[in-house]
Amino acid sequence: MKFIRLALLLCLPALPAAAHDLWLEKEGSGHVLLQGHRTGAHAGAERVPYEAGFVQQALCADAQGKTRPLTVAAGYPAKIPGDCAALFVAASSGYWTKTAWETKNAPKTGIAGVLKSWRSEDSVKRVSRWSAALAQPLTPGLEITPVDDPFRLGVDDKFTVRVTLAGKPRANVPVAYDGATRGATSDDGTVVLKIRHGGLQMIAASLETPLDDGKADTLIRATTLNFELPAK
Amino acid sequence: MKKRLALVCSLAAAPALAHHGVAGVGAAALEGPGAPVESATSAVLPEGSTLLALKIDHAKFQRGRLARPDVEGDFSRFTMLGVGHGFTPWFSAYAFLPYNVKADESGGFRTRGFADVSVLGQIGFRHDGKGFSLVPKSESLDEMEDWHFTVFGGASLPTGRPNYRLPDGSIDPGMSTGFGKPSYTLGLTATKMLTDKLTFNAEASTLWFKTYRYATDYTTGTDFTTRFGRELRLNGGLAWRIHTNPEQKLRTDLSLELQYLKLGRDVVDGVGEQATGGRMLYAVPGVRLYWDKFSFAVGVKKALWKNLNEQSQQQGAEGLEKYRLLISASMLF
Repeated sequence: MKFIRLALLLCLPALPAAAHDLWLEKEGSGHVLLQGHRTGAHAGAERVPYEAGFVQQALCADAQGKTRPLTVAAGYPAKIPGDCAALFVAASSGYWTKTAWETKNAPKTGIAGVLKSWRSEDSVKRVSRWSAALAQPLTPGLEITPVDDPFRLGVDDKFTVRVTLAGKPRANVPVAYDGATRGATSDDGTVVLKIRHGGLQMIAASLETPLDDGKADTLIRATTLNFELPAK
Repeated sequence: MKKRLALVCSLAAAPALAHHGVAGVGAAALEGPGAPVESATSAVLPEGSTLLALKIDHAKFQRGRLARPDVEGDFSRFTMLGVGHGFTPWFSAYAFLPYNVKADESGGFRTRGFADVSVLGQIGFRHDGKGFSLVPKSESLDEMEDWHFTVFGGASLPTGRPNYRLPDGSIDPGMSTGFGKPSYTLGLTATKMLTDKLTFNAEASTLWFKTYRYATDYTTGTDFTTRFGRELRLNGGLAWRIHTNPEQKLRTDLSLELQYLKLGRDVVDGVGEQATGGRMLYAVPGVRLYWDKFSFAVGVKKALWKNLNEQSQQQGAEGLEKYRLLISASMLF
């Protein structure tokens, strides 16, 4: 029998199947922000360019967890210079409205036959070097944080991450590894996952909440945690 | 001599029904551990959830030497309704109400009725590679791949009818619908996902009875005592996920179980009864279907090997079935 304990998950949405992955790859002394289909769960072109203005914020965290803003030039892929213990990038593709005929990248205001509308906010954090300070979230947004040093891990090791919003643990958030939902966060915001391969790790979570700004019905937040392990 | 008809105390089936594959089909549950058709597994009910379960075990027996040509062969049909509740993430409790029908070919009659109700408690724990811990409120699929265990214990209550009088005025404990005294069970299960589609499951359990003094048998003019033999079960099984459909919340597993059963000799008036007890090995191939919060399973149980005490004299007992058809269904809410 197996449900079991997955009962909570039954009530949770899986991560949006059609959503694009967002990840940070190392390039030279900095990083590039890529969007597309990085994980096996998504079919299609691996790279999907984003619009200028997609990136809202970039933060560089040092070993003490102190952050400083970085300037990101518009364009795809966004190149983010700097040697950071952890790099955090927030982005948004704005408002989306779905009708029976199409899905438009616009608020629902003035559109007839709206089936669903939402504002999309994304973020990605890449941890490059571990320190205890990085066991805390860097921002008040939806964020995934390792509770312990992820660079000690090998294939088949289990590890715990914590999902936070407004700096506080968030329960019942579905969390995916490589695009496949593996569980939901418990009351303390944590979920246990297993390393399946070396190389870049993609851990993602999403949360949909009501929005009352008159432009969309809901706010869909998605966040990704990256760290890289030796390739096997 | 009384026939040692297949007893199937409600407690013997209760652990299996209590643990049996409960639907858990969701984004993640589609990929969780599987469950065999009959053996108990290591899953506990989610905290605050309630399970309704039904099991039908139809046992058709080989025709004995005394069979009347105009009468169908012996059969027994054990129907059991169960309700369970998850009181904590690691403790579940159940109650079961059985309804039994037993047909005796040589006597040409049947007994039927509600049998002894039973209650069962179950504690779930796991080993994550570092140590043992109770099952937490929430587990990821990756944690579900760890070894999981349960210990369970239960008792039947004498609510059935032990002194079920047959047409000739006799009382055959094997044909009665109650044991007259409580019976008890203790067991342990272990479950491990071997791959993302293959789940191993094992169960070891024992069931024992107390001595009960029956009413006067009109054919002998005397009363008598009986204590049924202790039962020991060692089950192993594999469940193999062959199909999933996330949109329809469907999942299908094939399963195969091997079940070893050792039955002790019954004791009547303090003396070991002839033609009772023995050892046997069953195979149970089956299929389990999950749909949303429902689970359905069908299997056929057949003895591969048996070594019964005074085997040539036994009739209608475990090990002598032509087949047993197992059907179960459950719903979690």
